[in-house]
Amino acid sequence: MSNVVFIPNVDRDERIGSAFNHMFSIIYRTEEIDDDTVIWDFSNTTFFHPFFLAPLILYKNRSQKNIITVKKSVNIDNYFRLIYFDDMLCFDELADLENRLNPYKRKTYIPFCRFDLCESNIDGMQTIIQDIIEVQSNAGREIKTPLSYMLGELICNISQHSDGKYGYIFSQCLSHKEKCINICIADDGISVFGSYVKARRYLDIINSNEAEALRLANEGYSTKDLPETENRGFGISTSKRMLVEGLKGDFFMLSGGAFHRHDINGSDYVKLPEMMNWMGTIVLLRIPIDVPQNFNYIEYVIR
Amino acid sequence: MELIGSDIRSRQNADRIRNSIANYDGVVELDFNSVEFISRSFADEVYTIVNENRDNVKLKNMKGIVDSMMSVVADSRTHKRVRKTENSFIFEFSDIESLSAYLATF
Repeated sequence: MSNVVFIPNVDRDERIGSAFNHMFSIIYRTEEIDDDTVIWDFSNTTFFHPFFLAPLILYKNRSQKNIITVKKSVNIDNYFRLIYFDDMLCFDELADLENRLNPYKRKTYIPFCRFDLCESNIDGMQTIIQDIIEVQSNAGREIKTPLSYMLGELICNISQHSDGKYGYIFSQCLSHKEKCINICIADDGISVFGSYVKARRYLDIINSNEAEALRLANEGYSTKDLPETENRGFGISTSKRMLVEGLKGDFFMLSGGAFHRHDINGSDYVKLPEMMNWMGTIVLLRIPIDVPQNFNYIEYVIR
Repeated sequence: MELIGSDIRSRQNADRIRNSIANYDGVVELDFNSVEFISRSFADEVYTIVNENRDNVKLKNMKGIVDSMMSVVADSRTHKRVRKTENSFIFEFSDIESLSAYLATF
C-alpha cells in the first residue's frame, strides 16, 4: 500500500462543516496506512478554506504518524510559514503575542495560535486577537460585543470543561467571498462526552451516545451547576443562538465521536462511525461581518 | 486596588477576587468603573461571590454591558430556566461510506 495521501484543494465550505467531508477522508486514509511515515502530497492544491485548514493543522500536529508534506507550491509554502502550519504560534507573554500579531493587521488571517489553558492571560490573549480580527474584517463597531461574548464564552468553556492542556484559535476573514469572519476554536481535551462521563452527570440520558452528549451541551445542560440552581450551561447555547438567530451566521462543533451543525437551514447531530474519533473539541464560527440593524445581543444572553 | 482589567471574560478571574477578600473583615467594594465588558460566565461568578458574602461585598459603578450582564444573571438565578427546543435530528453512521454519502448532501 502506498504511503501517499493526496490532499484535495478544499477552497470552500458551502455549508459549515462540509470541509470535514474531505477531512474525515484524509484522516481515514492516513490512519489506514501501515507505515509510520505518511506523505501528504499537496500538488493539487492552490487555496484552503480556513475550516479545512484548521482541523488539518490540528490533526497533523497531534497524529501518531510522522506526516511529511511535499509538493507545496511556493505560494502554499509561504502561506504555511505565515500561519505557522508546522509548529503553531505559541507565546509566553502577551507583549510577545501582540508584537508577533501586529504585522497580520494588513492580512486577512491570523496564525494558528496555541495557548496554555492554565495561564492567567487568556483574557488578554483574546483581546489582542480580537483587535486584529476587527481590523482585518473592517466590520462596524456593532460586531465588538457579540464577538467578545462568543469568544469569551467558548474559550471559557474550554478552560472549565475540556481537561485539556492547550487551546487553539485560528481565524480568517473572507470579506469578498463570504463577507464573513471564520473563526476556529479548539482544545485537546476529553471531549464533551468525556466531560459528562467524568462528572457522572446525565449519563442515563446520554446512554453512551456521543451525539446525545453534544445535544445536551448545546441545550445548556451543565456538569457544574450549583446544587440549588441551574446557573451554568449558558455559554454554548447562548453563543450559538446569538450567532445563528441573531447574526444569521453558522455554527459547527465536532467533539470526540460526534458533531453538530446549526445554521439557518436547521440543526443536526451526527454520531460518527466507531473508527472515527476526534481528539478533543473543535468549534467553527462563521460570523457575518454586517450585523443586522435590529440586533440586540442581550436578547440572546438571557437563555 | 486595580485587580483585573477592562475586558473580563474568564471565570478564573473571580478566584482573584475571592483570594483578595478572603481574609478581609470589612465591607469590600467591587468597582467596575473602568470595565467595558464582562462575560456572562464571569457575571455568574460575581453574583455567587456577592451571595456568599451577603453584607460584605458591594458592587459599584456598574453601567452598560456590565450592568446588563449582572441583571441577566440575577434574573436567571431567581427564575426557572426555560429552554427553547431545537428541532434537531440525530443521525448515526456505522461506516465511513454512509457518513461520506450523508456529508455529500451538505
